[in-house]
Amino acid sequence: MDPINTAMLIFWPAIFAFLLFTFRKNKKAAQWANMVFHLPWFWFLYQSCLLWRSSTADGMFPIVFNSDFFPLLKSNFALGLDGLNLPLIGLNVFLSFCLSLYALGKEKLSSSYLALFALLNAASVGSLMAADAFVFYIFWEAMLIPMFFLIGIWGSKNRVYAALKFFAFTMLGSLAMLAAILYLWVQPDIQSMGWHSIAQLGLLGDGLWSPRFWVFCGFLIAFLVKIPAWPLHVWLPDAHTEAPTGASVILAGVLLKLGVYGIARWCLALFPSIAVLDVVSFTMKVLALAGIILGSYGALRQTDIKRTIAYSSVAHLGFMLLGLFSFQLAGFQGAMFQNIAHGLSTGALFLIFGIIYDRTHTRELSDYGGLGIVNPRLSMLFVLSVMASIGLPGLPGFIGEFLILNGTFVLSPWFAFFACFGILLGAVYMLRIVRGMIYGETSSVLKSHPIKLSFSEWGSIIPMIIAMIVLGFWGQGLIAVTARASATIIYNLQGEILR
Amino acid sequence: MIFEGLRWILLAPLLGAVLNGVILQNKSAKISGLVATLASLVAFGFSVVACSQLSGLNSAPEQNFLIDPLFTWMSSGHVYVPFNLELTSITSVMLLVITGIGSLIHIYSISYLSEEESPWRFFSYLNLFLAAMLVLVLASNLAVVFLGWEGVGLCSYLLIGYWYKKPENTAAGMKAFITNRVGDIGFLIALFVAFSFFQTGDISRLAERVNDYAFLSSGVPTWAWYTFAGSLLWAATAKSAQIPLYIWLPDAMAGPTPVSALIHAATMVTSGIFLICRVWPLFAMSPVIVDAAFWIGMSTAWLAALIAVSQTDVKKVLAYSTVSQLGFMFVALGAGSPAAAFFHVITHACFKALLFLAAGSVIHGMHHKQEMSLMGGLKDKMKITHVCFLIGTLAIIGFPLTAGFFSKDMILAKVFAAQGVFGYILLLGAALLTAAYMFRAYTLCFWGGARSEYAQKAHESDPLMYMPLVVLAFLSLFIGWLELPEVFGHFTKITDWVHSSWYGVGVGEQAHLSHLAEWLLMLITSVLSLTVAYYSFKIYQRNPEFKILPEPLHKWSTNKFYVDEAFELLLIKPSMKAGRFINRISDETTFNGLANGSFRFTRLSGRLLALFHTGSVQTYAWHFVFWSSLIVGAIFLWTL
Repeated sequence: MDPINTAMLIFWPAIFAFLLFTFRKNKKAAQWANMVFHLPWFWFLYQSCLLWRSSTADGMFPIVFNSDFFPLLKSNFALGLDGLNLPLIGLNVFLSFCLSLYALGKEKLSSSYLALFALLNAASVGSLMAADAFVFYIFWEAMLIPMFFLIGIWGSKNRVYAALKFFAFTMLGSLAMLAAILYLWVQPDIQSMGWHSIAQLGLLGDGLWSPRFWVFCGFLIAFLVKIPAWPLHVWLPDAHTEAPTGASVILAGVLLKLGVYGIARWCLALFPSIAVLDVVSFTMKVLALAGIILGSYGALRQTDIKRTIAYSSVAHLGFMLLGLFSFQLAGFQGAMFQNIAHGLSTGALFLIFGIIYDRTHTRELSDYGGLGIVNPRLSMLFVLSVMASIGLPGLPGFIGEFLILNGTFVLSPWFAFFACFGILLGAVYMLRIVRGMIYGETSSVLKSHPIKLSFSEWGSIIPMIIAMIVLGFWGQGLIAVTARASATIIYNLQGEILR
Repeated sequence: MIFEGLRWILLAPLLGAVLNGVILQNKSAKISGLVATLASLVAFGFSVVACSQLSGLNSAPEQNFLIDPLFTWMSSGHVYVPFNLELTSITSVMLLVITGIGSLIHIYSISYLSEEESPWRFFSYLNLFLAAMLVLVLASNLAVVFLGWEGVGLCSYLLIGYWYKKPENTAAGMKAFITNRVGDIGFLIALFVAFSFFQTGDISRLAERVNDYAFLSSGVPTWAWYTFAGSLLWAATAKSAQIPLYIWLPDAMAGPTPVSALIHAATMVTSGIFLICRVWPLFAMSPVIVDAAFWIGMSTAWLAALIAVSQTDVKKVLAYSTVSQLGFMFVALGAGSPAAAFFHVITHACFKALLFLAAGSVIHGMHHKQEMSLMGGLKDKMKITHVCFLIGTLAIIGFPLTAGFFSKDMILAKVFAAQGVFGYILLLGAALLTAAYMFRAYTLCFWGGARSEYAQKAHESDPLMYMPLVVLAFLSLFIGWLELPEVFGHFTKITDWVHSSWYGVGVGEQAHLSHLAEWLLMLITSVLSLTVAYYSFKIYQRNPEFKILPEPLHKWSTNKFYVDEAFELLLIKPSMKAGRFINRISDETTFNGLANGSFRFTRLSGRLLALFHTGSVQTYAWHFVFWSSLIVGAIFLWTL
């Protein structure tokens, strides 16, 4: 339970990224090494869970690791661990492991691909745990670079455009955050750039257009781009569509979730007095609803399967944004739950479709049909993931959406009502994919490209499916993890509302 | 009282589904069917045990149920959902119907699907359906009911699309799922109201809220009650196929016939009515909504009956007849008598399952031809099926002393008591139409001469198929004796069961009728129904082409009153178009345009500035001199 184990959650993938470069000559060895490298990572995760369980620290975001980083910047290398980031770290490690199985035997996935992936993991886990504004910013930006190359090099036809768009959008968002961080840094009474000292910062005003409001907005914009909230979402369909399978999975499973996590951690928890302003919360709920409804219609309009799934993410992440700004425990925990649920279901959809795409090299829905005859088992898993994605009870998506909407209904029943139509539309666009892809007579593309899965490919999907089923019924296990951290945040927010 | 056997009732079919769908995947209908049937029978056995446990219970009305606490599904803030199973008396009847008729239909399916390529898929879905349906009826919390509610919707979707190579089947499955999702929005809103205003989703605690004066005076807005009841009604109109959301059910007949019998006639489609019966004390708090149920039911009963008289596909006739009968049940709810509605749920489950299975036997014998214009004269070739179909037909039209007679009579009496003679006459009209179209279907199938070579070569099905028919025919004849009209004696099992499942919350039934009125109503109904049935029988023997409705009603009826087309034209297309248009304008034109525009701007300005970077020192020197002299000159002029 040494805290260094927790720090190793970040350092270990960074280290094995460099180790992977030594396998430059031998692709197969690199892929196997990549898989084996995940095992110590799991061990560090396990140790961190033990650390979290034994911690009795009160208050928000307990720091588990702290060392001098850059005194001049008033910055410490501080890492925190609580119920908000632990599940996401778990999801990151889990998805990355599944993808390491998927990568076995793939001709295209060289050691540099795997190394970039490991760096991406280090950066994403880093930004999940960072408890210092500068450290957070560095990790946040560090995620961009590997992702940029993953899309730009290993992507499909239109990859350069997608990579640039992804980079430009997120970079612009991050600039707003950097401005906010720098503004905090020049405050005379700030002790350090640590999360806790920012939380205690006075003298910034409380109302609309106050300095605190602008700092809040600076952070918020970066996260809204990442989520991505409507109308900043236009980078997502391109990035998802062009990205290689692994990058799509991690993008949907982890990177988007960092936007939700960021809002919870760096906006709602740090500046509750701004978050509860009517203008702010109303605008956010409108954007969330626009994301849900227009994102769903966007998904309906696509003929490209990956693009449809990407648009479905816009709709799902809209739900999470709605939950965050419901200011109810149920809504907030629902958003945290939906983070994991969406990571699993959309991750599985991208992975299964990626496996099919590896063989057929077409994403057009009209090229498919009759997968149910060609590979009934894979079709079954695909339908199951679809059902998880559209929120069928018994699978995790339902618990997330249900809690979010229940939370939203308390203060803004009309938003909850209209968001329900997102659930309806979700069924429409997803069943359209099922019908076009799995049902019907076997298409010529599927006739000429047999879909036979290797052992490791099954191995990469099945853990995700099992996790979904378990979480669908035993969701309380996960809800309980986020309970304490969420309750503190909601308590502060509701206190601000009453004030 | 805690009774841990309840979990096995739903675990057995769930295990059967996993065994068939994931592990065995056996290509023989005999093996996979046997596994599924066993699972269903085990569930039936546990149900019988549980029901006898319940009836042996001698406790106060508030505690007159068995409970099996399992685990906490979710608990966050004001949303606390324990996953508990609960057996009340109304549930116990439902349980026997689901597992009993379910087992019969499993047995029947073994033979019906013997020539299929992948029967394991069918049996796995069918078992999964049983598990979901059992969750729906056994759940103690409305959120868990919703798990079953959506679960049965999923199984219905999968089973309608079972023959998935045909595009119309998959379209029908999708239509069913999506229409049901429209209703699920209603269910979700009811849940939101329950959790945020009534602070619980447990049905027992919700029922207690009605009598809890401290709670009632704590300022729950009136609209919360109305919203709760209204959204439940909304949910029920989708699942139980009422106007305007009934459109999925006739299309759902694309699935195999045993599915139509089990899911789309006997069990799933009645779950909306069952749900309202269960939460009746809360539902009855909103009289406007109860009235709405009456008129929705009445118009559905009529509309569906008017469509049924002109259908030529035997399964379509039965489908519209189901919609119409479900309308009768809604009318009963609207007349303030959940007991009558529930009674009709039970009798309808028996005789409609019988009719569908008998029709399935005919279709099986006719090499999967369903058009009645190809049938005729089957009464000699399929003797057992013929008798069973006749019993089903008699039961549905309310032939004296059959099951349908008692339940339909109860509904009509309640309507007469609650809504007066006008409501009674309206409903009687729908009942007479039932007699007309059912005898039309019966005569066209079994009487006259064979109208095609399929009909000539038709043969009786094997015992595996007709034995379930015989059992169901027996039930259709005698299950009505569970509840007798007052003039026959005081035997009201169904009313007692329904009333004792509200956790001691008493809700009065409507006023009683005098004995004379009861006798008269019974007489009028029976005589008129039988007359209509007789004439229908005579006319269709002579002229199979006879049209009951005058033109242009007949044409509208054959085209289902253009309801599907109206939905398509007025609702689906405009909303899809608008959504796509807005999405195109916002995403592609505006925001992508802005993004790409700013890329272009950056690139262009870069190119423009690059023009100055020639690399030649002379040019730089020239620029330096030119621009600096320009600036210096400007400053000089400014200061002058």
